[in-house]
Amino acid sequence: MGWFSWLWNKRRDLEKLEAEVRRNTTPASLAGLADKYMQAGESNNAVETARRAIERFPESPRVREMHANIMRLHNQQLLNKLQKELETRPQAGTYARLADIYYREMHDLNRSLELAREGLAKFPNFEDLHLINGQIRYVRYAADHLTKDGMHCLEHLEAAVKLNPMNYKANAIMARVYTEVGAYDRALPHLDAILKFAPDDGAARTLQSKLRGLQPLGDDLEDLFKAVEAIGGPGDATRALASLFPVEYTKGQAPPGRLDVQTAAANITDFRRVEGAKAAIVMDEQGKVIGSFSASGSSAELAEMVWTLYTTSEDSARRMDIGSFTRGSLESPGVRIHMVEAGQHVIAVATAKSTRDESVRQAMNAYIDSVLKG
Amino acid sequence: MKEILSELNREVGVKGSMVVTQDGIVVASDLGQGLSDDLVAAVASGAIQTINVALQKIGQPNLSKFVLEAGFGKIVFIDIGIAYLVVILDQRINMDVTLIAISGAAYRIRQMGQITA
Repeated sequence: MGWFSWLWNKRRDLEKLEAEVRRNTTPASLAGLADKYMQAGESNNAVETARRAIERFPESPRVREMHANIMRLHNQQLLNKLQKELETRPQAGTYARLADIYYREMHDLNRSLELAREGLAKFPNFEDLHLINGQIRYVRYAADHLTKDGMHCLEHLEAAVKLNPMNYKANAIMARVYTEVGAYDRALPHLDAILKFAPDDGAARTLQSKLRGLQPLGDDLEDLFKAVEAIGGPGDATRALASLFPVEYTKGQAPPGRLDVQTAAANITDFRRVEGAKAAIVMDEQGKVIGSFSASGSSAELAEMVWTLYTTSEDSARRMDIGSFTRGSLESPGVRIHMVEAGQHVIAVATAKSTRDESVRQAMNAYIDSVLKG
Repeated sequence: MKEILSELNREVGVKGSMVVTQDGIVVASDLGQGLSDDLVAAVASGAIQTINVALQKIGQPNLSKFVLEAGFGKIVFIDIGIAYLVVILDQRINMDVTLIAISGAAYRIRQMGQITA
């Protein structure tokens, strides 16, 4: 009887949480439900909830952490097995499989790229490794539109297609990327290739007919990418063309979330509760201040400092080919500034040097979860 | 100094390190594959100069530490006298643990007395 009542109570707790998530889907409620499923041994439900959560709130620190933990546990056995195979008898297929799990399941693009690179160093003519390398560069390109990512993406996908002209994914991504930057003449051969082995692909045919006869926006591919990078993404015309041929969106490349601007402005004062907080600010990526508080004086100085830090960090990260700024902290003898990027906004908090980093991090994560739109 | 950098590079997730002045003069470097001295020195000196000018504008002294995290990597800048220790890191590392090793390396370089005003 005790056993059944324990099971009954456990299930009833879960049902309450499920109802709560249906009523009010927030990063916290989804993360809480996934954790509870895990504790209750319902690992399939936990994995499903983790997937839903990361798709809906890809920028929530809590959701990211929960997703990483659950997917690591879920894939542990397979990861260990494949890792062991790499150590004892490395094969191209094992590198590709492992890289694919890190990419699709774990959303760990760094580890996936590392494995794909390592594999390609040993097996330079393995199609799947070029494909995954190109896909990851595409994910990065889609997020930040950096020239380097775009060029590397095409380099690997061209290699994959050279090895197998009927590689649909490689041809599809290339057709899309070339269209986005205005290299219509380069996109067409990939659409032609797709239609040879998939003649019923209506989207490919529509884009092919639109691109025929269009003059490319330039001859130099790198210049075309640079032009897109300079304006932060493709122009309206090329974007509209590319959207005629949607490429499968992997969960890891979910579009960035958005902040609820009003809540973001109102909740910025939550940082007052952090011991030693001197000022806090939230601004958009054009430098416009959305909300701020300052324990003494104006927050204008902080705004200027944060903007300089943010633009400098973005520039440095891009030149170093490490993607786009996500988080940073600056320490000088008189002040400490913590910054984070979320929902296409920058949030910064200035504190005393004695303030614990962990308490600022927790406050920032809670703030992000409270202002992200699902 | 190169030995200290090499030792630091053996820490998990460290891809390379360099000692560079604010003007971009490389004092010592031990960078991993795919990282060039010229690029890292140029990026580091540009960032350090810009941030220090911004700090001066608000009446603060130069930066003592700056940690930049991006989607696919991290960079740490630490003041070691008249130069800066710059460390390039993998994105997945545990920052708290690695920062202890970086601070230790910075302290040892400072103690060498070679990087003094």
